Formats: sequence, structure tokens, C-alpha cells
Amino acid sequence: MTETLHISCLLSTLLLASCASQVPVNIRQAPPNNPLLDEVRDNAVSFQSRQVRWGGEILQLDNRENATVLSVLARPLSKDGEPRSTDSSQGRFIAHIPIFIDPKVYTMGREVTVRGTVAGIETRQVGEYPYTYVVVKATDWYLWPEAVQYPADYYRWWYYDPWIYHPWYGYPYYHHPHHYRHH
Amino acid sequence: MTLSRFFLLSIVLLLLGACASGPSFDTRRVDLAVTPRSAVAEQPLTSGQTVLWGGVILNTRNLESHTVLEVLAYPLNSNQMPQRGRDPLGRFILERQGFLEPASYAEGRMVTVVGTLERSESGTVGGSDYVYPVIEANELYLWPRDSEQYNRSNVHFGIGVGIGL
Repeated sequence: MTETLHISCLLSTLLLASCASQVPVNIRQAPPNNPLLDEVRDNAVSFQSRQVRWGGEILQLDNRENATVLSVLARPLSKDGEPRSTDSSQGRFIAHIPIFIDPKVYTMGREVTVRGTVAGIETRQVGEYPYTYVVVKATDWYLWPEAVQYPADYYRWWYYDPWIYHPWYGYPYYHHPHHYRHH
Repeated sequence: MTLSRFFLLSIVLLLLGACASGPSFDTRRVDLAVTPRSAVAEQPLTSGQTVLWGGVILNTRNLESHTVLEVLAYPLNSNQMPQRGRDPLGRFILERQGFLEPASYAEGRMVTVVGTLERSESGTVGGSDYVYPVIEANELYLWPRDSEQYNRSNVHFGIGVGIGL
């Protein structure tokens, strides 16, 4: 009796462990009273050093000496911090990341979520328009896996057959999205 | 009787709601016969007309106080969505006060606009001269990226086989 209890306990722990997300906890969880980008832009001084968690689509990446500057088009985030696919946006922000980030990995259009503190505002030209960016000093960041393009017949019945080996469908048999992790 | 009628009505409304998405701009003041090409056919152009145009964005320029889009126009369907499969109606230039995000109003995205015909402007396309009608956008709608897929096939029918055990 105790034996079965023991085993089931072990099993459920294993199962739970396999669910654990790769997304850093500071990305998954928003800071308390996470301010909106709009409010911070309008009144950056009073939000100085406040914790924020924002995310969206990468617009530009500049590699500096020992640092990387990302400009991001913010989008609303889901509860676990992932940018939602919508056009509604509160605008752009800049994230200062204290290490080198590979521009071939963090490419334009990829989705990123950043956690950090408000460092101020910076005006940069977008075309000829003087755009006011909120600058965030990032402490955590996460590049979301790219949406995987499945082959057109991915959802056909033979893909679900776990018992028969289908050499003619080639390798890789399953497609795993790649997770890029940082610290 | 009234209850079943109510149900029928609500189902019909739900179905209609599922199909008709889009800006639903008020077209009472719009001169629907004017196309970008016909607007510049006679010079000087008749400014002040209200038009309903839509098409695919060719480029976006952010200026100090306004944004300029160059659009290739297509005929609109009943949802006021540009129909890319049909013959284009010429190019036009759209001006909007303030800042439009160029990453959203990007090349290839579709817009529908109610605007006021302002003037014509000459430019070049490759080596050719081109005369653009310029409109001031009063109401502007950016179509979601995948709206063409939703609007192309409105209704699907399927046949299913079930086994009861």
C-alpha cells in the first residue's frame, strides 16, 4: 500500500518536472503593477527605475561594445509573457541588454519579452518623425521560439502512427521548435 | 412562436457576424465611381471629393508631422476589402496626420481608407513618370495579416461518419 503510494508520488513528480517551462520566471511573471508603455512614455520621470515586463516584435538590433541595443515594437502579452499576434500596439521601446546578442539569432520580426527597469526616454528619428522611445535596462530577456512551418500533410493520419516506421517520410520525423535560452 | 423566431434571428445574426468583418465605413458621402486612375485622368483634378479606396501598401514614409503611404489600389468587395486577384485600379498616395507605425503599415499589408481628394502629385515609377492622386485619410483601416484567408472561403461543408458503441 505504501509502496504504491510511493510510486505514484514519484511518477507524478516526474510528470510535473517534465512540464516545467524553459521560460525564465521573471519573464513568465509580470512585476507587480506592471505599467503600460503609454503611461511611462507620457511621464518617464515618475516611472524611473520601475520594474517593467514588456515584449513584442524586434525591429532593430545594434551590437555595441559589451552590450546590445534592441528596438522593439510592443504588443500586448499573454498571461505568461508571450506577445500576442495582433496589430494593436502601444508603440516602440528600446531595451539595453548588458551582453552580446547574436544578430543572426535575434532577427527582425522575431518575438522577444524583456524584464528590466525604466532608464529614461530617448528620441530617435523614424523616417523624419522624432519618435520618443522609453529605454529599459534589461535584466531578463527571452526570445520566443519561431512558429514552426509544418508540412502541408503534417496532420494526416500517418503522422500519428507510433508503431510503424515510415522511412519514406524522411528525417526529421517530428519537428521540435528550437528554444534559445539565455542565462 | 416568438421564441423560435428570436432563436432564428439570433442564429442568422451570428452567421452574418462571422462573415462580415472589416471597417464598415459609412459610404453615404462617398463617390464610389471615382478610382485612383479616373481621378487623375482629367487635370486639374476635382479636389474635395470623398472617396473609398483600398489596396496594398507599396511604401511608407514617416514625415515630421504626418505619414505618407503609397498604395496600389484594387477593387473592393462587399466587406470593403481590396481584392488582390482582380485588376488593379492604379496607385494613390494617402496622407495621415501624425505617426503611423511603419512596421505595422508595412509593404504588402492591405488598407482601406475613406479620404478627401486633395491634389495630384507627379513622381516616377522606375523610369516612367506617374501622376498620383493624393488623398487626406479621414478614416483608415489596416487589414489583419491573415484576413484574405478568412474572407476567401466563407462557408465550409463537411461530411462526417460516426460509429456508436
